[in-house]
Amino acid sequence: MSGSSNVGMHVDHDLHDDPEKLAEFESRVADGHLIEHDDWMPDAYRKGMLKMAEHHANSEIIGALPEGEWITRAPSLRRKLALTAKVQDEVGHGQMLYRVSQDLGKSRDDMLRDLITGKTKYHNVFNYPAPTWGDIAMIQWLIDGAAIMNQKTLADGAFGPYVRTMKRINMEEAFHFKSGEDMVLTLMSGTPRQKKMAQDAFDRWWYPSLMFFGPPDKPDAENLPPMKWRMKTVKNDELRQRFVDRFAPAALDLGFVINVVEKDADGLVVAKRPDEQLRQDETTGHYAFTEPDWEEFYRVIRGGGPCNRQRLALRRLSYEQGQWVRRAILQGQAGLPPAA
Amino acid sequence: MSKRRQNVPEPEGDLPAPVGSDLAPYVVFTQLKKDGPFVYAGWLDAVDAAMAMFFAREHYGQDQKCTQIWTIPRPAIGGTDADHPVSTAEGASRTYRVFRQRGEATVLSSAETIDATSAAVALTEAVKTDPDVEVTWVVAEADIAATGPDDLIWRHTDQTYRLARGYAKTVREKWERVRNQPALAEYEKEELKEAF
Ligand SMILES: [Fe+2]
Ligand SMILES: [Fe+2]
Repeated sequence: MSGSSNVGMHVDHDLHDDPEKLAEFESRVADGHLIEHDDWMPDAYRKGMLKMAEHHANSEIIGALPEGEWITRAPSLRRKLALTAKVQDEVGHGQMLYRVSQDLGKSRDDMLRDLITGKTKYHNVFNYPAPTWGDIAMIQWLIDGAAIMNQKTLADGAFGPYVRTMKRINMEEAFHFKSGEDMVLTLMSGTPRQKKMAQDAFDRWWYPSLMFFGPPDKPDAENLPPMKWRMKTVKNDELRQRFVDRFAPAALDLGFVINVVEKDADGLVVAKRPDEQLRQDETTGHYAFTEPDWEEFYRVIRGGGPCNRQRLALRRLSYEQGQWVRRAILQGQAGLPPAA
Repeated sequence: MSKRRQNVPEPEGDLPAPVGSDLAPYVVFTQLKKDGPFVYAGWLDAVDAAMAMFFAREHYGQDQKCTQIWTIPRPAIGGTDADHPVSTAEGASRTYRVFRQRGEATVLSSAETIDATSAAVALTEAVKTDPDVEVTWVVAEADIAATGPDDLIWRHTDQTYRLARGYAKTVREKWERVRNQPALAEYEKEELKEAF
């Protein structure tokens, strides 16, 4: 799951960079060369890549929390095995991305602590609740689907270690997406109650998945460092359009109604109406749609989402409960786990 | 879901003090076919070689079918890349394993062994033998930890639930049914009209 598209990416040129080296770096990037972590790079690039990889790593491990809650409640043994493997994959993605970040100069422990104290962020989408099994199906279909679309374009980036990690991760994402598609198909070919559960979950997740690609682009996005240096390769709005073009017709085929919704403070839908903007333009083939509520997006980023507090409290509990293990293996101190 | 998770306590006070250093990095190679080369799988952090092998089996061994795993502490690698400075310390002759990466789009894989009195000498010789490659590494065989030749790494149970292809057939069938439903309903309606 996850992706790093909505990390607040403000990267500036540093006036102290050697102009000759900067020119050489930029021409290597423009020629499609991969940059390795021991190559010369502008300081802003190193910081920006670290921020991006760290944000992505944080998102992978926080993203495992809402799904992890459902392992014990999965409806069949095969679904339970698949969800366990999926959650394990996501934590593995976190491991790989923390390694990329460590190579850029930040220690793993600092990253875990900064995540808990709120110094660094994780992806917005994981601040929404998953109250039913239908939500688990939607997360794997829509959010993992969005993550694949995003991460495929990140795999065309310029930073070698990150690019290689994206390629590896995407192979596992394909399993997440396919099993999600299978779950959604199962629910939508099921009983009226199953269909309602799926529709309600769809209403909760459609807009978070459109927000997944990040806020609307700045007008000159192509010329700003994140794209000029190929830290990312496709604009947020373009990715969002690709997502809608791919998923809106599939959802309609499945019998979903695509609704514009209003949510309460717990992230539950309190009002909905069909999206009247939603239709396919016959000349371009693209689907028009009602834009997400960007005020909500920024509110959630600032900590005002339905689950922000809960996610970080659980992450902190895990960190505190794991402390005796770190002490035992790093300092050779014998110890016992704290009383549960 | 456990009660503990349902009622996560409100955090209070500071985080426990940091424990200190990060773990040490180990590079992992897997052999995909019996008698085939060992190819670069990735790396991981561990406190010692035993923990590295344990994690390597769990993480990389379950990833794709493989017959054997090697783990190597990163400082034991001497390479032509800037990441892996080669040691010039002279000593008794040792056997070094050579790894080569042919081009940018390929991964490092194991090749011949060379006997030499230092890693630097082994590396120079390995580069002389095959100069047209992206990266060359040498590692003293003694620094490579390996699984046994008959170890069971890949689980021989049905693992298709964790692979995309495990869902391809059922997803296709379900889509066909969903997409044919309107046609089927239409057909049934027509048929009903005809029959009654
Ligand atoms: Fe995923
Ligand atoms: Fe992931």
